[in-house]
Amino acid sequence: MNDLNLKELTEELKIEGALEKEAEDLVIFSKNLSNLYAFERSDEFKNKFLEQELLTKNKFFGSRQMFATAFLSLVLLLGVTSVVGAQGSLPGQPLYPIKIASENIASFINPSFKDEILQRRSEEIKQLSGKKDGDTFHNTVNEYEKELNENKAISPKKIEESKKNLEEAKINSLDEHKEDIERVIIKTETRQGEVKGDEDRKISPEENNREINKESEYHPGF
Amino acid sequence: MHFSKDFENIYIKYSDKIYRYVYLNTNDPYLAEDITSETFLRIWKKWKHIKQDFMQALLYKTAKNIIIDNYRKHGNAKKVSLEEIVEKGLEPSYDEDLIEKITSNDNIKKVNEAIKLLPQNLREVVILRFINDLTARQVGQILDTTEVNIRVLQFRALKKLREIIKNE
Repeated sequence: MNDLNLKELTEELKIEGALEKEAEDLVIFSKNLSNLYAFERSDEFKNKFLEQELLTKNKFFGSRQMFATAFLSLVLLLGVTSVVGAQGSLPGQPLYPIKIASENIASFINPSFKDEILQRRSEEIKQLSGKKDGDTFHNTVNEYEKELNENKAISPKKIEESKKNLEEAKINSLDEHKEDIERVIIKTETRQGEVKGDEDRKISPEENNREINKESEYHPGF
Repeated sequence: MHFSKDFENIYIKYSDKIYRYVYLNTNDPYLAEDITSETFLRIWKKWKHIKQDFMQALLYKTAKNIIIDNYRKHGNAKKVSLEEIVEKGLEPSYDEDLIEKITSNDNIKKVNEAIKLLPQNLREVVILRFINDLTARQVGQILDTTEVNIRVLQFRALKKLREIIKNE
């Protein structure tokens, strides 16, 4: 406490009821008290703490960031690897649900991907046709039929490729699968015919204009 | 922002005061150092979110909480929070020269004993107001009371402490 503060303290003590002499004695007593405990830890000691503390903190931050980055990279890598790996999987295999999930996401983002799904199912039928897993094969055929029925805007090219896959599947298939394959080939051909018919019925904008002009010639009042 | 430099300045400015405050509340120079370190570590952890305006009050309050926690956990056994500090990767160290100076000073020993006999509220006022040279207003902020109340308490505290020392 400096002299000014000691003077203030004297006044404060007097306000609280201390007599002049008592206040002065108490101020001297407080000054001695302050001097007695005026010790300080060495600068060297304080710097040591700061160096240690800040270094540890930085290390902590560094290691935590590094761990988080490594962890996220690992998760990302695993995610990408499993999605890519899953694309070649067949029904009944562990990664197959990932393949289906990725197809759903892809067709949600890009609806034309649905054509690709039909072709993929036909590919799976081809690969499973030589295997003795009746349930899986049957389910895959059902999934193919579902896609064939639900996809209203199927492209002629994809339906042709799917048909080719099914025909190859029929050649290599076990006898027990042949009936299923033949059924879906017929359905595919029917659908192919419908798609072709739709394509033929499509009129180009120029043709459409020509038709309108013809109409106008017949009915000049319009 | 180079906040570690700001933290260093705060440590240099207040760590001795916090050390004295803890030392006089625990009477253990080693425990005082551990609690002082722990106080600043806690502040450093929340450094980005702390308003600098009330730094001094926050440091004293943090130190007080650690003293209370330590007392609750270990009672009078004065177990240090050393394990926590070591867990954080710090090597505990002490200013042995200073500790030697404090522990061998008979006047300090005598006044320490006298301060220990004061009621808690008067003890806090003596340490903060007269040993750490804080203003009545600053002491009020730390003890969550008014400046006027601190002025009343400081008179009683000084009288009582002097009386205890005289009677020893």
